[in-house]
Amino acid sequence: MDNNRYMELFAEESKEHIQVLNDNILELEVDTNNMEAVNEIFRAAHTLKGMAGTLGLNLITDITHNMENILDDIRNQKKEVTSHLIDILLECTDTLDVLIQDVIEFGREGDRDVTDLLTKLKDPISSPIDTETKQEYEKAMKLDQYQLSVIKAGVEQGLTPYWIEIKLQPTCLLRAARAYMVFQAAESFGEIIKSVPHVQDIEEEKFEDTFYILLLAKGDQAEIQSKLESISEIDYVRIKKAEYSVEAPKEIKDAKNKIEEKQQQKSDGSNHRQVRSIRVDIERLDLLMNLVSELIIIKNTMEDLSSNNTDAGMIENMEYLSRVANELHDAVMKVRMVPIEMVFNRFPRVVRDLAKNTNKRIKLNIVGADTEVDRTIIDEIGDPLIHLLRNAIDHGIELPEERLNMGKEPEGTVDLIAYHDGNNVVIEVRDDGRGINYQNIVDSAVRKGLIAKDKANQLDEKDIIDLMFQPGFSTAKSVSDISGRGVGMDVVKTKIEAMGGLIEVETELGKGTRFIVRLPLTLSIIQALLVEVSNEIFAIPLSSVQEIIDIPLSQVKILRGEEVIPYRGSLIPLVRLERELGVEGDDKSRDEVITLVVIKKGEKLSGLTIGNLIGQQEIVIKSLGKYLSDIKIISGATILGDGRVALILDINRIV
Amino acid sequence: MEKKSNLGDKQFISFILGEENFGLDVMIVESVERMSSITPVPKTPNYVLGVTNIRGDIIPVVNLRKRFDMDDKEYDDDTRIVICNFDGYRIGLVVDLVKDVITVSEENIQASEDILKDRKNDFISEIIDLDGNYILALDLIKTLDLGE
Repeated sequence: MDNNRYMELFAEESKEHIQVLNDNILELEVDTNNMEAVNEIFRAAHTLKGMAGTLGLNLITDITHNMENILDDIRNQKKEVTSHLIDILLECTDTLDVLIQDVIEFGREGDRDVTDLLTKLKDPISSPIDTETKQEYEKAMKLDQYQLSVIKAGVEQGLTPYWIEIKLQPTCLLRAARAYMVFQAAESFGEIIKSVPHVQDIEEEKFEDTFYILLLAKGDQAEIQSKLESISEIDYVRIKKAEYSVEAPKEIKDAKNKIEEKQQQKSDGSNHRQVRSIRVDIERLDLLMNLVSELIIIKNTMEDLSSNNTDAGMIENMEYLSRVANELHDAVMKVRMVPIEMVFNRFPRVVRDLAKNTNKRIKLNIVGADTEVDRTIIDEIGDPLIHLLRNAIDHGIELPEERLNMGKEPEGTVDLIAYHDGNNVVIEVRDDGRGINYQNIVDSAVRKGLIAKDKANQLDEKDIIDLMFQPGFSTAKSVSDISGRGVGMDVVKTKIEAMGGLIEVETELGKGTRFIVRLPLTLSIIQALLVEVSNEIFAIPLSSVQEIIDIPLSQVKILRGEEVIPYRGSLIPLVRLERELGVEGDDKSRDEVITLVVIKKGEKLSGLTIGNLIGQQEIVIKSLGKYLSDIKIISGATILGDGRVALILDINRIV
Repeated sequence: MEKKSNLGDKQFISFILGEENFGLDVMIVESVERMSSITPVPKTPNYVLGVTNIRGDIIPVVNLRKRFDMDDKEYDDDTRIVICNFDGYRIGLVVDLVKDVITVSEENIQASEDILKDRKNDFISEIIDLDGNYILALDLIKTLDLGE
């Protein structure tokens, strides 16, 4: 495979490995005995090392190699998993991530200084277990029940267990081969019970130059010594008689069993989950989606053209075409659907770091990570969600002491929940923190001149929440590293609305806050209501349409200069679309009855006047492009059956 | 008019607007289209006619006559939309008539700022001398007010 191809592969796969590293390091932090996690980390680091090595990426190779050493020590219980060690591993992962970014962007590693990290990495291993004493050996090489019983049986038969330390010469090139010869030679005396590192790792040369074997041998120590020393390229061989109390401590046994059980479960699980899948370049999927979009436009055109046709065959086939096109659209959309996990899986790390920085204790609960959403949303939703999480941790969750004083658990909980709701996907960020203090928000808004002081008292809760989403609003008293930089909730709101979504807030003082983000399932093809206003056709996303009603003109009332209409027992505002669009309406005011589209924006309803109703249609959303990107009330455009362009109204901006 | 193409040569699309000849660097011209139905877009400057559908893409269309405060002219068989693609923008310009693609050597191109001093002529970047006919090359960023 040529280098370019390999580089592409590296770019594609390395991200996954980084994710695996992150996930499993965090898992290991929770359960320091989780050997499966250690193995996963090892595998990821090892694969990265392999790929980086092939591409001549020395820094990455160096770091991953040293990570492997640490992990190996953990595996062989030569090293304990401490929080310091977790920090080092996470730092490695971050550094690797940065290096990989460089590689992807510039085709090579930047000249970053990683010596600090490498020293840190090497430090824990520069003090390997003092191999001189027998106790240390044993500590490093705990035996399981089975091995102990083998030794016990062996001793009863007159065999002797020896710990043998073999150091190869530093110049030795084929270490695995030498080790193999040592194993061969040793086995001529008896049975090798255990080796440190593990035999497999030795075979793969995953050791420096020293390894240990526990040999249950018949025969004399000196004889073994001389036989082993006769192998070339060996620095020294040290043999000690090993003494084992045959009863292994119970807890070790239990822990070991547990781990094995877990591994068993894991491997069982993964066997079941084996899905047959292929990797597809996202651009190809986008192309496919575009083609489907084209097809739907043509289908709409055909429907238009054939609407006057009375030929039964034509009508029948038109319906067939329409059905197939819709099914194809659904199918392609499904292909583009990915679990929201793709975004969520980097959050445990983010939350952990934030908690550490703010000295708070936080538990993150993720629910519904398998909820599927369109790829386009995956790409866009990450930053707003991170901001909401930061907000929850920085402003919401209190410090542990504070929480204890309030009678709460010292550990705060942040829930990240995703689920489908009709044609929407809903993502909630909840915290059980201090809740939003309305007064603080009002005070801050007055101070920043976002509202006039005398108006401040008339605000209801909804208005106050809206203030929070104003540009330039930030309640943090001091600007912290995490949130409170003033680029805040307004950006979140803008971004979510740009995706055709909505954000709502529920809060209770002292109890917590809940941000609810509602997004459409897909961003490219939607059901829309087509309406005509002063001879132009506009599309209104069906998801924001509550109902279409005709009301007699006499029902329109004017309150304080604003038009309102009664609707299902309450009053709702009347919005004149022609006025919002700045076009002169065909004078409809003389009509006795007006047609209204009742629009819902979250909980709020409004009546939108339209000229004529044209009908419902599946439309393909197209961008207006960079030149017209700042027209607020239009969110995009679509191509109608006759080839004309219809603008899509951004309902959130109109009502 | 046969001219050998040299390294210093530049190519322009020349078009007519009212009485004057204008030019656009061929590098930014994507295609030349016949007039088609245009959907007006609210809340845009008066010279933005709206958007049109060019083979499935939505393209904003600008009326250059309005932009240059010239009188309106009915669209006819010669009216064209010149689709330009530059700096991430795709914009169509309505012109009276597209004439030709011209190749000019460097010595026949002069920077406009040395010649036209009035600020209202800022949007002209270069003046091309084509055998005594002068062609005004447009700076689209300035013409369409795209600068920040």
